[in-house]
Amino acid sequence: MALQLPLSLDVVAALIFPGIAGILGFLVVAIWAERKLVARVQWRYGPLYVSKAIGGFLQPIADLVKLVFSELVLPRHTNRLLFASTPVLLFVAEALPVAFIAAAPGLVVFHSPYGIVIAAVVWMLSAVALVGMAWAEADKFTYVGAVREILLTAAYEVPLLLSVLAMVILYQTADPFKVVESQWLWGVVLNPLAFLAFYISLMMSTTRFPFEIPEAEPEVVLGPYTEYGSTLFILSFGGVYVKVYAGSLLGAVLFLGGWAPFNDVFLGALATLAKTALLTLPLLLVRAIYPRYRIDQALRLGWTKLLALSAGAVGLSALWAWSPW
Amino acid sequence: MITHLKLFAVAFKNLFEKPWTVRWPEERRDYGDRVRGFIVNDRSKCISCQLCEAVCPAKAIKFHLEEDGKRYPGIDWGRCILCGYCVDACPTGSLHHTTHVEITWSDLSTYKKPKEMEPHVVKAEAGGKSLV
Repeated sequence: MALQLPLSLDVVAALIFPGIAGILGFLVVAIWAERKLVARVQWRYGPLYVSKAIGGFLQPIADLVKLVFSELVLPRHTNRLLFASTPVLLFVAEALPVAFIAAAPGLVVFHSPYGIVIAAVVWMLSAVALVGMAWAEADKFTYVGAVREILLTAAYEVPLLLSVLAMVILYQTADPFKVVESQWLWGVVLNPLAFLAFYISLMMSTTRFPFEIPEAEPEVVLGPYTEYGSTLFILSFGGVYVKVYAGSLLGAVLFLGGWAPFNDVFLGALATLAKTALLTLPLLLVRAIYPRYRIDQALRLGWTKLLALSAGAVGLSALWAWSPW
Repeated sequence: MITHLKLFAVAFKNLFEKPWTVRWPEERRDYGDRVRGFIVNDRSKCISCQLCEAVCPAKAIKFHLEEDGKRYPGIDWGRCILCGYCVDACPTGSLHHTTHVEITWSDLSTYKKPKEMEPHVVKAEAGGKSLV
């Protein structure tokens, strides 16, 4: 079944999935699902006050509306232009990897033969925007948060890039379409080491719970996001969920076979969406499972076990790629 | 690794546990009828012996002169710890607990005068949700 659309596929990709509508929808659904899941693990109900009939699903939207109408404070001692613009920059930077990842055959915003690698590199760059934002806020908690973010980035970026490199070696291509086509078995089966390294790095990168060090609430208020309120808070803190989305999408394409069983645009996009959700759920659940690591523990983990794991993943991929069978 | 899998397994198991919390005020906890709630005083039985005032560890009970010329106990709810000593000490059983547990006042030092402690003044809310 070939779907006849009035728009070309890259515009559909930019506007609907995996683009803008996907990102905003994910933001709402992920926040709701996180609060609900964590509540269920802790034997609570979770948000129910708004729209009780559908399980409080409208709560994140109500929160967004409330945040939009709350007062926007631009402190006088900061560079106010930078203060107001860096959250926007951060949000865009964290959403940008999505543009290079294909969600279905032909459904990609910018097609490049190096798309997967570009997505990974752009993903790393968002840490720079985050540190810039923390610097523009000019507050001691944001500074501490920024330093923690830099240290954490040092811990995860090498294993993350190595795990992506392992998959690129394995598939012999970084083209977002060929990567999926060359998975005769799911990547997670072909190279489980790379998946493990990628997933833990993804957790660190999105500062999910065991590594929720930069914005540790009892220690540094909200880390790099401390000074923001209103719309700027949505943009800066919502960016974390966008990062989760981009990372899960990349993981679904690299390790779970993307749109694998289908070759249709619509069904393929649905399959990718389901796999992205599958990768996202544990990320949302860890908030209820783990305590927070100290920064030195996270660094030690990143530079010993995780690095060894990802190096092993590259070795395993090399074995696969250059073995005679 | 096994530890992490166990952690996830526990979390997954808990996902299907019934919530233990109560969506107050739509539903209320049922504490049974032996709960030590708001204390009332039946003035027809009170003999003004002041044993309750003597035994109160929080010094929450004070006596007030009422219109009939007798003194009756009143309770300072900013101090009362609901220990029930006064109820135990009462020789005639005029002081007793009710099952009213949502004892909320807008002021920290709320002193309830004897006539505000008549048994008919407070009525207990019916709790539907059992504790276990």
